Amino acid sequence: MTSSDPGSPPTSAVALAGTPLLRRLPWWVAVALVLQLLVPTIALLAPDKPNRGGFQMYSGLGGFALTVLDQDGQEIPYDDHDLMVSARTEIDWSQILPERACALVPGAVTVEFRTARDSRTLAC
Amino acid sequence: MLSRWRERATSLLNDPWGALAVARVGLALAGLLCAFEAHRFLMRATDPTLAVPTPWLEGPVPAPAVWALTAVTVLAALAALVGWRWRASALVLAMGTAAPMLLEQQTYSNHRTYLTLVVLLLAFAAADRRWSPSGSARPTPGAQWAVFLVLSQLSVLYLFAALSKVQPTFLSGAGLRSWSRWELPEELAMVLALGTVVGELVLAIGLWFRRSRVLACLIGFMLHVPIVLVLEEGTWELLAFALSCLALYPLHFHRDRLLAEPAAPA
Repeated sequence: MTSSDPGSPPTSAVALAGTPLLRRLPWWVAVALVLQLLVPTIALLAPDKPNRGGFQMYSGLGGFALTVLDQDGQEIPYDDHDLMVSARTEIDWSQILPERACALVPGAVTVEFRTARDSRTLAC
Repeated sequence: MLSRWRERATSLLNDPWGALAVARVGLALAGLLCAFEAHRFLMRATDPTLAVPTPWLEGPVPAPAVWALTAVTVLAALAALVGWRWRASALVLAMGTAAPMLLEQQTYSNHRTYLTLVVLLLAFAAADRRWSPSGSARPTPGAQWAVFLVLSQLSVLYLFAALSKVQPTFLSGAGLRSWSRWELPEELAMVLALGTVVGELVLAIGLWFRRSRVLACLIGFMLHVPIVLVLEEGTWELLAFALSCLALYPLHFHRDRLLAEPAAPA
């Protein structure tokens, strides 16, 4: 929009708009802006991604696999929805899912939980 | 009839307060969709065997509390949609959007976090000057900076969404292939993955410059619409996400005016 547009603001407002934006930032806006950038930066640099507050959606990071075995070592099929509401990868499932699988999957004898970095095996 | 609609569309494009009203409506609709999605998750999480409560809660959220939270959030979203008591309704909507994440870990989502933040910020802007029965709220000192922070939040979202995808897992296209409702050839998935990162980076920066703004908007549509159509799960939440991002684009076209003159007469 230019100052000749119909309905354009008065000259003083245009002049204000013409000054460099960063020079007229109130301190509280600058603080808010720094926070907007700082929180996701910390989340990006922190280990164990994805992290909350990082806007790391659909990055493909943090997947896990759960295998439930019967007494013969055969894999037992199960439905994810019987064990959790949503497989959010920000949650540390390693101490939750194996126990749940032992309790809720009929015939479960051994449960193996794996992420890209580590694994855990639980005897039910 | 057609000319009347064209007239309305033209006046909307030339009207900064119309752009704020578009943002308000988009965020309110997104809030409505998120409220229903959160309700579905929280009701399932009332089952102790499925819940993962936040550390400060001892057990799952009881069902009556879930219903109450949903009712309050839906009412706030509807009030925000029509611009009734905009500031109050937006603040309640932001709380209603954040609350599920404070109660149950499985309801966390980046989209919901972003929506909470932009609704909270837009509450202090004069988003009720158009398409609102109550007319304009009294201008708040610093309201123009609320608009600025809404726009910077959108760019931060795109920037970090892109940066977190610059790694082999995402760029291999494996994620896109597993999330897609259709079979994607490996090469196409890799191209789409790279295109997503580049597109998000362009959006983070391009919306701020007059020369690249229209191109950035087109990229935004090309990014958000296929996400809703192609990804197999979370369609409603992705639609809410698309609304909460796309509805803010018109603000960039009126940024100078909105940042310069918060107290202009309606």
